[in-house]
Amino acid sequence: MATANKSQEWIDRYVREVGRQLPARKQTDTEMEIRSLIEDEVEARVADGAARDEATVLDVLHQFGRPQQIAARYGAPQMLIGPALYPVFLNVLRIVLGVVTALAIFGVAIAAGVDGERPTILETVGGLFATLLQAGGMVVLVFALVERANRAELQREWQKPWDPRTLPAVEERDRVKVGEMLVGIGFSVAILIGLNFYLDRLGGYYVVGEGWRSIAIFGEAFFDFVPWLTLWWGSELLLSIVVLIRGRWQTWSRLVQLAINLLAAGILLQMLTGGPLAAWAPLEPVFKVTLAIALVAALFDAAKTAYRLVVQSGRSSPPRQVIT
Amino acid sequence: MMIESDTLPLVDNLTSELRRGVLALAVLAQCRAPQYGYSLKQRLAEAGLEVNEGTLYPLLRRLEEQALLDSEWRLAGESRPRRYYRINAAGEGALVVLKQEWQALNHALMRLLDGGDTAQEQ
Repeated sequence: MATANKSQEWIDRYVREVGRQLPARKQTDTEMEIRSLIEDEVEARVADGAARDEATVLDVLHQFGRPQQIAARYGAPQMLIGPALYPVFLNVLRIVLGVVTALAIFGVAIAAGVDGERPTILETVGGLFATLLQAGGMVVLVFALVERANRAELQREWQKPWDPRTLPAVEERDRVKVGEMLVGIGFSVAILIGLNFYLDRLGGYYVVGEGWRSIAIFGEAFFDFVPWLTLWWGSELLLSIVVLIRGRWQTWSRLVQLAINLLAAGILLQMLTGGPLAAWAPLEPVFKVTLAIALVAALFDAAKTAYRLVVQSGRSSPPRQVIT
Repeated sequence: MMIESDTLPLVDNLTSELRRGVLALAVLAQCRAPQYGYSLKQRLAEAGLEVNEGTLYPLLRRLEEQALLDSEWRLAGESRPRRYYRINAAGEGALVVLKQEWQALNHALMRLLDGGDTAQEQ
């Protein structure tokens, strides 16, 4: 009697474990069917001479397979985000994580520059990680809900006829965009000239009596950074000219670009967290916010360049296959 | 030809996939008379098509959800319910198409396999 009860308990456990993993609408019916199928198997073995005991039941359950596998085969496809939504999800996730990272760095930079808060690297990275996790989780949740609510419609959409002419053009990432490059070169030249020849003349001009007077914008501390800023923009200019002549981005030029981006981020960080840069105090917060934005842009550019370097290194030429 | 031991699991997987592919056709053909899970499994095994429970039983439900089989609960013995499956009109239509497809596939494969043997011999 005890053995019979134990055998029954194993069947109950198995059926419950499968049912637990099924959608609610399928649970009762499927549980009833699996129980009936198990009983049939056990009965057949008993008819073939096996004892109706725990060992026989366990063997039958073992043969049925893991409850998770059975449940997966009885239930709907178990996926949070299906193939129809996945590419959109990936794009949205990238954008959200990029924006959140930029905002988080901007926030830290502003706090450091304006309020003088200096969190440790560990605090900053930890905070950023938690924020990214939260943002990523939210995106997954939203897409999972959209998938769940529209599964049938998405599957219909997925099965619709497809036209290859709707394929987007392949973006040639390595080819230089001449227009963009020329604008960049002009900008670098203008900054270099401004920094080295006109910095002391930049300011607010006004007329008093018969003559012009001016208020300087940049304080002494700013002038200390001029050599560094010249190095940054000079390298940028030189690289742009070389890449423009060669017509393509290559691994070495991307590496140099990455180094310039990191140099820029370092200079901007120093400026942001150092002493007052404006000659006129009310301008200081404007300076710091501008520097924070520039820092985020420099880090974003560095990340973009690093990503392209990784993509470039992973893109090996396809092997030549000859069918003989 | 000897099969290397680390290739065996792969061959097992491919064999399972091959069997799974034709299973729906075999099930539809056998459900012209009402069948419950175990009786169907036995019939297939007697015909030489051994199928795992975890594959066969969920397939029956799937074919029912796809409206190719009908099902009803009947009492087996004193009180135990048992679910019986039977092909319906839509299933019969699908079976005709699948059977033709199988014959064409079988014909094509046999030609390919014979050709493969010939090429190997040369």
